[in-house]
Amino acid sequence: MWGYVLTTATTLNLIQNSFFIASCLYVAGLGAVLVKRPGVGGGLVGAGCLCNGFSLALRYWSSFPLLPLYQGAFFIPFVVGLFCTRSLFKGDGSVIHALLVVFLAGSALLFPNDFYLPFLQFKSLFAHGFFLLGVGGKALFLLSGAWAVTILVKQDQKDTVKKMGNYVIWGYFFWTLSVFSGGVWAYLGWGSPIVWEDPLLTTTMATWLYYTLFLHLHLTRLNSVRSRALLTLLGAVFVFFFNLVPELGIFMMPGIKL
Amino acid sequence: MKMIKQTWHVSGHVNLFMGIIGLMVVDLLLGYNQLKFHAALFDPINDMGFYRWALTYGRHYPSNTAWLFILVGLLGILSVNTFVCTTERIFVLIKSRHAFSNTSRFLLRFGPHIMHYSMLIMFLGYLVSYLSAGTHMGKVLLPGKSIALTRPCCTITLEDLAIDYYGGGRMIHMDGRAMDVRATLKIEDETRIKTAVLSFNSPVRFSPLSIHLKKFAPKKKGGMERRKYITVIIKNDPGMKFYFSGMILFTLGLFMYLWDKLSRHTRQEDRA
Repeated sequence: MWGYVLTTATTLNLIQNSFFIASCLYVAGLGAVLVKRPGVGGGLVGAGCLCNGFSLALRYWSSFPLLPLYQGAFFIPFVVGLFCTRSLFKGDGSVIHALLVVFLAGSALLFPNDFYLPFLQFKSLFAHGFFLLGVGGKALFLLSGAWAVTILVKQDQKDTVKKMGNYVIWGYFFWTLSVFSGGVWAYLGWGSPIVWEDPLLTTTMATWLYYTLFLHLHLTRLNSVRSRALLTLLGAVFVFFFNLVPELGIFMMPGIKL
Repeated sequence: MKMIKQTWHVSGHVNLFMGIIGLMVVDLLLGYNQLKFHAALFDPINDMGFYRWALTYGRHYPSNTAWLFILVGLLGILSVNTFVCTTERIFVLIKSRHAFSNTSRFLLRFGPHIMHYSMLIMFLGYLVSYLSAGTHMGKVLLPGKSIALTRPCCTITLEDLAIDYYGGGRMIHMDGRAMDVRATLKIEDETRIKTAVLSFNSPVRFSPLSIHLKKFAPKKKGGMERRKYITVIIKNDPGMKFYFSGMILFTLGLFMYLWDKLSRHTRQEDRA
């Protein structure tokens, strides 16, 4: 029924405008954290997540059962924002977390990649698994980078070190499942677990190997808190440049359309 | 004997592992540019397999393809290193089994080793697949017509082709476009006859073959009357069983690793 109520143009406007409002709320949240009001900041980032979530739900609704592929840049600020809201309300979140959400939302807003590819191969549970688990993995790797900055700035904090490690492990878990899901999807769709067409397959594997290396650090001399934090931060930068940037579009000034 | 022991020890050393992984990351990043700007050089791997590709495209464009050969070499060294390192650690773990207070904690410690061995199984799958898989790319099937394969000897007939077109208004840019394709195939060899429905992401198996839908026409409703057809990828991939078994085992190992890690954290918090 909604398909007849919302025209394509209205849906696209709603998707873009709700993401624009979400980005503004994220910026306001960062402002509140900067003036030492973490509770208000958490509330604003949380409200931003609601708008971002609405935008994502519409994106998914307007393409389901096909996949809104290459739109991970709009999904990642939502996941990072949820964790940031939780941290700010708990009192252990910092400016770094709010800044990360604003940075990610700003990248998606200013470099949008709003195109829809109607490929019927996208209609598979494994395609959705590949995409959503990948979004989860990327978000957790980026969050581990935020905790790494906290450690490097405020020096050794046992609890934060543990959190950083946990984010990496869970990120690795989601990333691995995303890679496997992609492998099964590629086999079902193209008859091979690796499709030698998409350059992102190399950066996906490079990311997986980088974090595999990270999980073996306890066996080496590079196991100090500082070196772990530095490598986690490097990993987050790596994820941003090699997994997020290729999914971004060209620069466009956001214009709100109502 | 001493030399064998020393070689064994060096080939399983963790520093070697770190070095290989570091090189692989750099190599893959170099490969990103090659795949992005010269995708046409790598696309034929899907059709002809790695071995035949290496002898043709790989050999004729070394500056563009060297990264892939280096990657394969590094994967080989990584496989040896992983096998030696994991085998050594498994022996150590078994020797120290009495130090564990219960069997489940002891068993959970095998999680990372299961992940390592399953990675080797996956590599084996890719190796078998790229060296021996047979592919028939882009075979065109018209309704009511048959194609014959020589190896393995069989005939595939497209008995019916049903295409559903979208008209709901909800999905962006999908109005009038095909939403579902169902091709009824009859496959027969000397002893067997099978009729099955082929669609996207839903291949038809006819041992040892798997048939995957690649393209179809007409994609849009209306306009000029276009002839109906499908294009299929026909695969005979003996490596498939290995890499899927590897994936399942790796996932099991990953769950065991996480469970062990989480239960250790809980125990530490309880003690604190």
